[in-house]
Amino acid sequence: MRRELLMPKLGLTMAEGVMTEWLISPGAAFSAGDSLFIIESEKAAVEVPAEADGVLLEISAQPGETVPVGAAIGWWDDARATDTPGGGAKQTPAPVAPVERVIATPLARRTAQQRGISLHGLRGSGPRGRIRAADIPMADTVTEAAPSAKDAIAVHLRKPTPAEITVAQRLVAAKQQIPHFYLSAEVEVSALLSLRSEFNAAQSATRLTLNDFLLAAVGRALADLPEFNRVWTDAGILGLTTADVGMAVNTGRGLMVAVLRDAGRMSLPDVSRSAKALIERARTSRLGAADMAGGAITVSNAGMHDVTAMTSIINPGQAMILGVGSVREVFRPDALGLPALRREITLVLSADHRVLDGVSAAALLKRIREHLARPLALLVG
Amino acid sequence: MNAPSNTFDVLVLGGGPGGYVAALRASQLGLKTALVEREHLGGICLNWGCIPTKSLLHSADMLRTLRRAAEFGVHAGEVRADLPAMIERSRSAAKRLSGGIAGLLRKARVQVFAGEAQFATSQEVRVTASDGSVQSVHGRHTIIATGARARALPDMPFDGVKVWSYRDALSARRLPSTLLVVGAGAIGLEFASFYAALGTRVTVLEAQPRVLPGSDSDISAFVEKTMASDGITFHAATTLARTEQTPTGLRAILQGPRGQETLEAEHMLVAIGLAGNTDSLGLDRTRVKVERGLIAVDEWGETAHPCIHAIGDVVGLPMLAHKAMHQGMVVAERIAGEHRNAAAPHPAIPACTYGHPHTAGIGMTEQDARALGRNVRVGRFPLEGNGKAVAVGEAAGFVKTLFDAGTGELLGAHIAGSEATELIQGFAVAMGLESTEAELMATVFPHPTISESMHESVLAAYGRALHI
Repeated sequence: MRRELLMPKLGLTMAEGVMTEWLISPGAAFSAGDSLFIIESEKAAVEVPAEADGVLLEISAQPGETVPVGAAIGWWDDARATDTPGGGAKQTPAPVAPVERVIATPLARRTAQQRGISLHGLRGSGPRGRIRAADIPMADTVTEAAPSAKDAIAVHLRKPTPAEITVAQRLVAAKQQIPHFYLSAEVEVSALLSLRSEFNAAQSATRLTLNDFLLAAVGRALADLPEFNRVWTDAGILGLTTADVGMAVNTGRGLMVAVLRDAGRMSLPDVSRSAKALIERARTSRLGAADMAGGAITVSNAGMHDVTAMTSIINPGQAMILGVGSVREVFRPDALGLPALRREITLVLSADHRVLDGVSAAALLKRIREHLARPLALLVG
Repeated sequence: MNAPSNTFDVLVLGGGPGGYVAALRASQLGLKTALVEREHLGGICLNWGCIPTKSLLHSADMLRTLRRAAEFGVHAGEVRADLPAMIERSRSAAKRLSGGIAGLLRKARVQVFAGEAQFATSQEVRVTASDGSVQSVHGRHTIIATGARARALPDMPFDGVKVWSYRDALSARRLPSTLLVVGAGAIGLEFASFYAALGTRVTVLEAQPRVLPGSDSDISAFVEKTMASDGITFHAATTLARTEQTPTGLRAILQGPRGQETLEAEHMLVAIGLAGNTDSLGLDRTRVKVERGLIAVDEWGETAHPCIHAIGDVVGLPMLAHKAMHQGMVVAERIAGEHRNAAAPHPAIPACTYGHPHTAGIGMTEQDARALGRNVRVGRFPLEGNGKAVAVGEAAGFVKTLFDAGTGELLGAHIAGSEATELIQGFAVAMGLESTEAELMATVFPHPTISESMHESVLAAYGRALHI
């Protein structure tokens, strides 16, 4: 049956999207999960996957065209019989234009599918760059392959993919147009880390991570101070009603932001479960538009990468981003002036000065630190 | 300073299948190349291994066929084996092909030095000719491809009379009435099969619990059963306690699961493995490291000295000519600057034996796969179910395939029976292209051919075999 393909809504504030690139041509068949096209919203460039198997019949939105959310950008056939007899959507398949295809072995394709990893952007080690099964990263490993010393010798000039160009443009725009300012503070996490170990040792249903505490603390802080939960839009300052918290997830296709809905009202174990589900969906390219929508703040945790502090660029469409560094052991003077060993992480809050000033951002950062310093309240509350 | 004419981009030591292929490839890539060979171009493979044994085993196959001729409605008259004529034919095949290698090297402008090579420094090799003259050859890169030789029993050196190496077995003038073969690997079994076909009473000794110990255990069992029915006696899990000379041959005292046994034989063929040819190369004057008689190399064939590579038997198992040829090509290409940003290729190496029955295998054996904890799907198809095999009277044998149950990866394939050695490359291509069961199932195999049993074996792994 002939069906309309619509411009999706990828965020609360998204009113229209720019068709950046069609990834398949009219006449080409696709399976559920295959990327069909790339659109650009105010937040990011997003590859939009097919929801079901079908054949692309025609396209109406050309690359570069701006289309309102919900408007048709093309038509596809779902291969199901139409309900109205005689109204058959029998289409002569359009001549198949050469489709840019990923060269991969059958085993590599199946392995990637099983691990939920996209073949796009992977480097193949086989003849003429063919992707072999050994080139598919494990689903749970960080996919940024460290360049080997041998690779460093060779210099490659590569044309960025349309998605990479769009991401680059969005980041430049965010960094240039959002008046960023930054506040940094250390927070002691000794109590948090011991509580986490005790909690994880005591039961096996939920394994808490440091990230779960951070998401919960940020959610609580936003719920405590709802006046700071707002974003700048061209139409005006948008006040958000739920304490949604975005988290940056590293996937095979780059960094994505998944939004934890109403994190401010969730218990810590609930935060943990929801976050794990979102991360899994992000890494298997099953993040829906709703999963990426909304939120005034994102938590970007670089703790596992051994960095002291990270000053991040605000995710377009949001007002803040919290960069989180690694846990460091440091000596601090205690009440008597003697060195005391503490475990600290450094938080850097990047904020949009159009909606927050130094005082409000500092208040929010202080509240986040207070929640992290009292981890038991996060756990039980 | 040496004459520049004796300085080469690539100097290959050894003219066997690894060495001459490396030299040809290096020359194709525009590198000035030389090769040093002390005996025959083509190496053991061509002169004393793969090729002449295939000639002899084909004679044995022909004998077997003619003995069955009446079964096919052909009356061939008196069938008689003529060992000297068989040997003569195998020698002429080897000679003809060795001459062919010389021609190929000449055409490729590879300069050949006849003599023993010895490193003077990492980049200078002295070549001693048979007349004692010495010349110095310089290689910016050197590829060691000196191969391997038969290992002797510690207390029973080869004497060419009673204690045979493969060379003696390839040049016998008279058919022995009895032969004891020590070692049931590919070499031991091929000679056992040949001499048994001609009428020699053959006994095979194997220290491991089964024949062809490196093969899939189903292959081992099938080979042992078939060869036993051809009159060969096997003693598995048995070692040679000692041997004594007798006037007509030797007496061997075997130590096996049934205790000690005594056996008399005219000759004893020792085929217990190969040792790398490293000792006379003067490697102590280079940084090249030798471990247990083999040259230590990285995955690109590079030794501890970056300008010296080694390939083939001298770097270790599997000691097969086609492995050496593959390594020779890769190393030559790498010296020429290719593959610099690539992962080292690790193609699956097929292994074939040409006795009766033929066997061929590639990839993991079932026991390997299970030991690695792989969840395996096994497909077996007997040649009795194959139309062509029945029509030509070659219905003994089977095709076995192993797949990873999760991904459908073809983990290994093992074939016994007629044409096994010609069929295995189909699976080699499939593995190289990383086919899963789906592509193999969707492939059309011609009918009627024995290759259809490969398809059936894949189908069988998924419960879909049709002709069984």
